Amino acid sequence: MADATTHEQRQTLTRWRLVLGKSAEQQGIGLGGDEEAARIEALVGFLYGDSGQGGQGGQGGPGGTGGSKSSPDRTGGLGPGHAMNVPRWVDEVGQLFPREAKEVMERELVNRRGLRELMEKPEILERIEPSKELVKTLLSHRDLLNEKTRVLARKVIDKVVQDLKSKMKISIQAAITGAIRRDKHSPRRVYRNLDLGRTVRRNLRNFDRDSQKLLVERLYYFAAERKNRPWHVIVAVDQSGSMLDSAIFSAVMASIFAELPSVRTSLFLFDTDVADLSDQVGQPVDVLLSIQLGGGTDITKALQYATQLVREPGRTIVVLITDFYEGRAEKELVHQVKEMAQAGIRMIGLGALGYDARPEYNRTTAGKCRKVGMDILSCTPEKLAEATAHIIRG
Amino acid sequence: MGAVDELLRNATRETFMTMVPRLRGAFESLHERQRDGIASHVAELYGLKESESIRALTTSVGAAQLMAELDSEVAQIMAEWLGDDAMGR
Repeated sequence: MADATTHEQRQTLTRWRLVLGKSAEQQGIGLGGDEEAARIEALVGFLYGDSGQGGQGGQGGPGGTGGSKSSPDRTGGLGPGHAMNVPRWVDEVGQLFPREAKEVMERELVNRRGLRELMEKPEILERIEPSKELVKTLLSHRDLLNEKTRVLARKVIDKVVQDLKSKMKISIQAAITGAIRRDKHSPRRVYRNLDLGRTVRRNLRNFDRDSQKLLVERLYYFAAERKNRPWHVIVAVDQSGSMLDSAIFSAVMASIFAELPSVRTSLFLFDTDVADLSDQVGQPVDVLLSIQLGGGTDITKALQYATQLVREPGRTIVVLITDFYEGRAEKELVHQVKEMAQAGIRMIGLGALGYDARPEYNRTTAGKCRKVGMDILSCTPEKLAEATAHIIRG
Repeated sequence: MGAVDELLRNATRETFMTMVPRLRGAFESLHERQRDGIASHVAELYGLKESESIRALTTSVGAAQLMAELDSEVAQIMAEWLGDDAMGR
């Protein structure tokens, strides 16, 4: 083969060096004095900070040890004397890399460099692209947050929740409202149908202490033809760590249900105890921040609690989100499901809720619950809405 | 190997920037010896060193499997970008 003389060949070799890491320099594959390549290496190499001591001709990656050896072509964008640290890294990655790559790298950063820095420094957290993964990280390491980062974490979660919500809302609302009142899809704004109680309740958080006034952001109306009693949807969410993804979707989904005038929504989290968050169902961020991971699982108890909430069994749907790993005897759970089914309560058991869900639930237990009357699904929020609508249509 | 080389040769700057973290991550997951083997192969390809032999990459079943995974990773990245019509014009 020819010597690496042409520009194109030099560029490809530089790229090989970036892809292979510092050890490639032992084979003479270096950055070739390319300034941008040196910047890229500084940032990518930071993730793999321990990639050995390099030979000559390359940029001593400022990552990790900062073991900089002088080299003739050291003109990296960072310049000499710049020790890389996480805040600078986040900044520079944002400037240099396309968004998709940025997300990949940030995920890797969280995985590799530990979370402490991320959770303790607001200046870092606020620069990371909000994503569902980040929300999961924040929720599962909440105890590492301090006063300042907690505020930011909330913002991140809020952003992700809003994104999910706008993605899911229309199809879910259409499915449910369509099932309840096929003639009309949105409640009419007729004053005599104003649901004053709900309007005040939902707007309470806008109470302005200074002026002692309640600022009404949104009015709630009863549907005009509201002859039927509302359906009651009870959402029960298992707090196991493995269910975190599903819990995020459940909280968002419940908040969408809660906005439907013809559905009453209850929501609670459970492990071996039950935390009823029905009054916060419209604020999925608060719901998510209430999740306490770990602890055992008592699904039977959760269902018993759900039963207590039921007013009209024939118009109640219990949506149970769990991995079906029951802490107590399976027999008791199956018995509980059977009793509820016989009372006429509809139940949907979800092994997973989400878009890329890899359901990992106890299929044996779930199967037994199915036999005594619980629908078992593992699906996207839209599918769940359809299933719910199907039950409502009867 | 050939596929990665072609990818690196033809990718636009934008494409390369997008895939570099994933590719680096994939190579970092290999054993150092395997990475060295590839580097050595690349060095030969570009005439940076004398050809030794072709044994470098076929050291063990495990290595072969890792290489296969790497290959499919690359294939996937290529497919994505070819699909997006983002490869060199």
